[in-house]
This record gives sequence, structure tokens and C-alpha cells, in this order.
Amino acid sequence: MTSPRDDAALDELLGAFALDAVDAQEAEEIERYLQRSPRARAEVAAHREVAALLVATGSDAPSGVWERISGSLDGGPVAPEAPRLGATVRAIGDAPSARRSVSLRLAVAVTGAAAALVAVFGIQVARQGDELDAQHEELAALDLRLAERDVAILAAQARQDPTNRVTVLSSEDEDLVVTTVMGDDGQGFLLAENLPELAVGRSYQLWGIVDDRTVSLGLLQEPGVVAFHVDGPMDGYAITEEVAGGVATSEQVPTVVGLTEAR
Amino acid sequence: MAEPSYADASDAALVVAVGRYHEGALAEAYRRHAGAVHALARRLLADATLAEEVVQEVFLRLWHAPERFDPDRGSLRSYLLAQTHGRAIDLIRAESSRRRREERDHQRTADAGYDLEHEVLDLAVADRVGAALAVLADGERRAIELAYLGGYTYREVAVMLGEPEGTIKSRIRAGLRKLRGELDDLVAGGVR
Repeated sequence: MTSPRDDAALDELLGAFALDAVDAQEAEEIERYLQRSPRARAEVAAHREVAALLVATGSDAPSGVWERISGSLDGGPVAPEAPRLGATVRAIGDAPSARRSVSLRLAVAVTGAAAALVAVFGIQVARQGDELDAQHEELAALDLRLAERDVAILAAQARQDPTNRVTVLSSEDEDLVVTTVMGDDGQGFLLAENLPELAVGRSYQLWGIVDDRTVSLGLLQEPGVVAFHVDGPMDGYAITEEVAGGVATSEQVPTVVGLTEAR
Repeated sequence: MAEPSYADASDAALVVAVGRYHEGALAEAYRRHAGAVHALARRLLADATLAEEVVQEVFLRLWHAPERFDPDRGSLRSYLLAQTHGRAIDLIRAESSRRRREERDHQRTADAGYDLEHEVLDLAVADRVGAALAVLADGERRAIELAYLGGYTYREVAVMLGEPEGTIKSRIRAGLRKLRGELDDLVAGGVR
């Protein structure tokens, strides 16, 4: 058995590793090395990008293979809207680590403010019954437009855009965390797949927080990713659990609440 | 509800949609990349049936575990091709494939061996890759050919070329770095 290689020796193997040209023991050593070396991971990824250019791109896959793939999908345990979306959206939307740390810091910063909001939320809701119906109609129309492109795709793309503002909403005990992503054009997305399932006859209601007021931004019939729109900047967001159809003013303690980090 | 069209979606967006079990997104990923996946599998395995099985396996793996693709670590194309290469290597290094490999190599010897330039069929890319390959020293190019398209370990390549093992692994790494330098714009923006 050979002794473990030092980092310089492992670096020399990165090219061969990227081409699967090392033996199994070396591959295991390098895999461990990659776990602790972002630079080495980046080098292997770069080598694989180059290798991908060396492969023929002009040919078509043989006929019949897709039919076999598609056929096997039907027989699998496929469940639309199953929770694996969360992992995928995170994988796609995760910004570099710098942005992730901003979100974590924001979550911590919001905790104190959230406690105060929980206390006052029930009595500082503005009355806006007429507006609510109009907003729901607008939200329904928006959803219809977005359905053609898939809200989840747009939300993931929005999360990748560093100019958009991400707000972390958390429960009082911080066990439950969801996010909103807001663009400068007022187009927002709520990524709330991990909210608890609702009982029959209940719905989640999304609220925007502006100064000491709250405005209804729409209803969420079940946990998931939804689009919404705001006409002006929000200081934060909250979600309450309400009767199906929503309410004009809420008396409920927010399920989650969070303030948007000032720019 | 009918699935949306994914023709204009980015590869990253396709994988998000695959994560939602949208078969149309997987079909679009297949349309974009299955040709290259199949070409690499066929080149390595020299066996049409096995190559098709690898294609099927790679795309089913994307369907069942889309979260394994990390867009921060590279393109979907390079991810799928790395999966393809790894799976094909597993097969050709298996004991049961030894005879097939020997037959394949005998045939290739008769065909004057590998030729990276002729592997690249996309004309727009081929010119650039051809020019980049010309920058490599013969030893670097040969080592990459045998390792990547031949499926040999660097130790096997060293024996085949009669060179020290250290020389071969250094040539592979140096050659890939040179290619990266020559093709950086294609890697960064030319491949979705």
C-alpha cells in the first residue's frame, strides 16, 4: 500500500483525474482532496469543460433511446410537485458563498425585529377589503401569464440575479424559513415549499410590510413557489394562515416574517 | 396543465424543471446533449448497444437526481459528458469487457489510432479546437487522446508510449491547461 500523497502530488494528478485516467485508490484520495480544496475542484471542473469540447457535437442520438427513457419515466414513482424541487432550486439558485452568508446574516438580524412584529401585527393591519379582491384578480391573471414559462423556473432565475433583493422570512423559533425574491420591476417570487401543509378550508396569505402598515399580496393555497407583484418597495413580508379566500385584516400571529435588508 | 416550451430555457432552468418532474425539460436536455453523450459513449465503448445503454442511464440519472448537477461547477454538457465518461470507463475496465477492448484497440491500430481533430464534428467548434490542439506538443496531445478517448489510465498510457508515469500525468495536466487557455471563450460562453 502506498503512502498518502501531499497536495503537490495530488495537484499533478488533477488532469488525469478529470479524464478518469487514475486508478481507484488515487481517485478516492483525490475525491477527499477536492472536498477540502476549492481551487482543486475548480481546476477539475475546468479540465472537464475543456474535455467536453473534444467530443463530437454534430451527431444525433440514435432513434429509440428517448422512447425507452420516456417509457421508463412513466413506470417510476413520479409525483408532480414532490418536495425534491426544493433541493433543485437551491442547487440552481445558490449564489456564491458570499451571498449565502448575507442571507444568513439577514436571518439573524431579522430575528429581533420579527419578535416585535409578531406582537403588533394583529392590530396594525390596514383595512383594505376592496383592494383585496382587485389584488386577487390581478394575482390570478399574473399567474396565468407566468404559467406558460413555469413559475419555478423564473423564480430560480430571479434568485440567480444579484440585483434582486432576497428577504428571509422565519418563524419565531426560526425552525421555519422561507424566502422572497424581488426585482426592481416589482415582480416577486415567494419560495415557500417548506411551509406546513394546510388543513382543508385554510390558506396562507402573503403580506407586504410598509412602515407600520401591511398590505395583502395574495393567497397561497398550498406550500410551493408562487409569483406576486408589488407597486412599491416593501420593508418586509409576512405570511399568516387564514381561512380559504383570505381576509382583509389579519388577527393571526404570522407563521413567518422577515424584514428586507436595506441597500 | 400543459408543460411550457423549454426551447429557449437555459440549461440551468431545464434542470430546475426536471426537478419538478417536467418530462418536457428532460426531453429538451436530451435534444441538446444526447448526440454528444452518445458520440462519447460510442467512441469509448465501440459497442452500439452498450453506448445506448449508457445514454439511457445518464439521462435517467439526471431525471432521478437533478440536484447532483451544480451549475456553479460547470455546464450541463460537461456534467453529462463526465457522467458518460465515468460510466463508460467503468464498463471498459470491467473484466467482461477486456476482450471487446482488445478487439477495439486492434481495429484502431489498423485505423492509425485516435485523432482528436476528427472527433469534433461541430464545424464552428472544430476549427477552434483544431487550432488549439495545434498548440499542444505531440506528447501532450497523444497523452490526452489515449486517456480521454482511449479510456486508459495514465499508467497504461505511460507503458504504451514508453515514458515515465510522472511525465504522462504532467503532460495531461499541462495539455488541458493549454487547451483551456486557447478555448476559454468557448468554455465560458459558447456552450450552454
